[in-house]
Amino acid sequence: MTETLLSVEDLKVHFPLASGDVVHAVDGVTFDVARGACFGIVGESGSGKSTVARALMRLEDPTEGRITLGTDEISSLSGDRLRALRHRFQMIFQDPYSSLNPRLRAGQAVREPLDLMGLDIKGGREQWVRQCFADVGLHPDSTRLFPHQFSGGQRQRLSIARALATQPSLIVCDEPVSALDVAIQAQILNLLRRIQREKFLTFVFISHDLAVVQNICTEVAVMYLGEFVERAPTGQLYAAAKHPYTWSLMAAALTPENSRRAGERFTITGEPPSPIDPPKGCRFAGRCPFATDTCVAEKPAIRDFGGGHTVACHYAGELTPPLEELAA
Amino acid sequence: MAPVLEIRDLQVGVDTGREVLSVLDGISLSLEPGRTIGIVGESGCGKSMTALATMGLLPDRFAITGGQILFEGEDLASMPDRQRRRLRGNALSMIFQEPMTALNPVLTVGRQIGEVLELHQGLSGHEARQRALDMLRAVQIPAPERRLDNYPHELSGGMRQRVMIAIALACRPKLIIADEPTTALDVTVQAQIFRLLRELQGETDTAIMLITHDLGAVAEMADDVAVFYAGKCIETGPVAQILQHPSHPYTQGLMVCTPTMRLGAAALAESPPALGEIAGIVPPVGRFPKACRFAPRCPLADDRCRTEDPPLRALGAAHAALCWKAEEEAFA
Repeated sequence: MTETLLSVEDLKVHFPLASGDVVHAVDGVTFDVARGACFGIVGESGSGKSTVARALMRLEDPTEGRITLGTDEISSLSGDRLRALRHRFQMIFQDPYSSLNPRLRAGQAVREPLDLMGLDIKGGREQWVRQCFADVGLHPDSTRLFPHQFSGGQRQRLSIARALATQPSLIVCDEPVSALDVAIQAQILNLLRRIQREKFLTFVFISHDLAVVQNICTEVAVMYLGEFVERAPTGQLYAAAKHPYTWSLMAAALTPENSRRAGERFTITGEPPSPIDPPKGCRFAGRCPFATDTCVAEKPAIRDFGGGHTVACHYAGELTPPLEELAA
Repeated sequence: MAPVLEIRDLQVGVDTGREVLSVLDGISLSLEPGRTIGIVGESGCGKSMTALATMGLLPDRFAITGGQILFEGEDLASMPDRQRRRLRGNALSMIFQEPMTALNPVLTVGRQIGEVLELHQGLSGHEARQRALDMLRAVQIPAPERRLDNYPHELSGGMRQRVMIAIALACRPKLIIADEPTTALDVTVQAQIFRLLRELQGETDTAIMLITHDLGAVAEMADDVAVFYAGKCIETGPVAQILQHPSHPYTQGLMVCTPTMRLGAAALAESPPALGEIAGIVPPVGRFPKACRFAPRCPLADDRCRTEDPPLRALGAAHAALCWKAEEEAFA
């Protein structure tokens, strides 16, 4: 049950700029994902979470580190050898408007990966495509329509059908519900949960929304400026988060049930620093209300708090959380 | 207190060339000084159209076909353009969702804030620049003297939104319409912007119409709520009433399909249940169902809902829902 499907070791993705500077988009992240688990990565824009997703898909080349899927190290493969493995990991993008070819009929869009990878399916590809449509709640006869003839939610179902077509074991979801209205978001989240269970899929789920992540993920990593600052099984993280940045995200998340007014919230000031020249010590120190000289000077080690809960903060476990639910 | 804004039975239509389709049908709401009304609903329900009609910024082919929009007692809907332009950006201003497209990319932010002050308050260039600096300070932009001469592309998303708020507030408006002001921003920045808006509102007694799809934002900011569906306002009431005792099945549906974060001990309970769903999608303009427009997606709908227009039922102080079933629901 705890067989590791995906293993990421010290992944770095750096982008050189024309000026000679380097953007440290992802700066050393390590995690394992068990088969059948859903690993969430939360963070704000610019934290590098989407770059992790794209590196897993080999849409960006890792600068350093290893990515292993099952027994295959995919970070060092290229060309035909990478293509031969592609069917085992697929991606669902945020925007179903721009991630589907407007000139391909829906059925062709779902069938395309099968044709490109030369995958043969028992019963024939055409029949399989109709099956994929049914699996995501689309009418099998809608294979003849073009993407613009679908609503936003249906289009995201179509993207999911295409990701499922090659029968992957890993699906990387990059903000798959962020562009959708709340009612449609609920439909798509429930669909993702159902197909994950039914097909025993493994997800890496990228999102900025803590409530969505809690709903679907089994383990969560919080990312800030290219690094994981905290990581824990979902229940553990939301029950006993220890990093001030995680607290600030939790405090800023709005829920309809809880009308805490803005003035009473724990809020942090400012915005993340530039990933071109990240701070030497703790990268969050400049915005952290608890920061000391040590934080500015020394990079905090990732410390293990047991049960898979790791935190990169000099004072983790010593600070009192500014959220009463966590302090209890 | 006399309302700043009172919308009465507003009708907006779009001319397709062949016919005029109804976009907004009978919207009525009212907003007092210093208060915030949250307008919620899915895309395509008419939230932004209500804002644009109020601002006099309806796109081509869209027109007000009936009703009144009373701003301090004067009807904006029938006001000549020239008179309306004097109000817009002055007593009445708007914050848009995407500050990158709403700001002028070839003017410095100081120039853009100063522009409204020169235009509406007759300030000289020098005075306007001084006031622009004050405004940047008021919206808590670090190093405002330096930022005054920056162009929008030199600022982060959160700073651009602050600049937009500075422009909107420069003339101390009576009413601000904020159309998804934080949707493009990160949550920690959203919290800062909301806090800022509330502080500035407290100082100036400005009324805010907050348009959002996010019930969490409504809980945070609004005093009152209006829920829109398919061009109609289907439920209105005080925020606590609407969020704790929603009466219209659509409002109830929005509540159950919004994932809520659980912290502390509650997070360790068994894994979260599947979210509630509202089946189907919002009907497009021109294909609004007859009688109750929500009936085809409503789990409670019966024959009467599909054949007779639902009544607006009062459910308590200032709380009303456009639904045949609302009463039984409220007292169930």
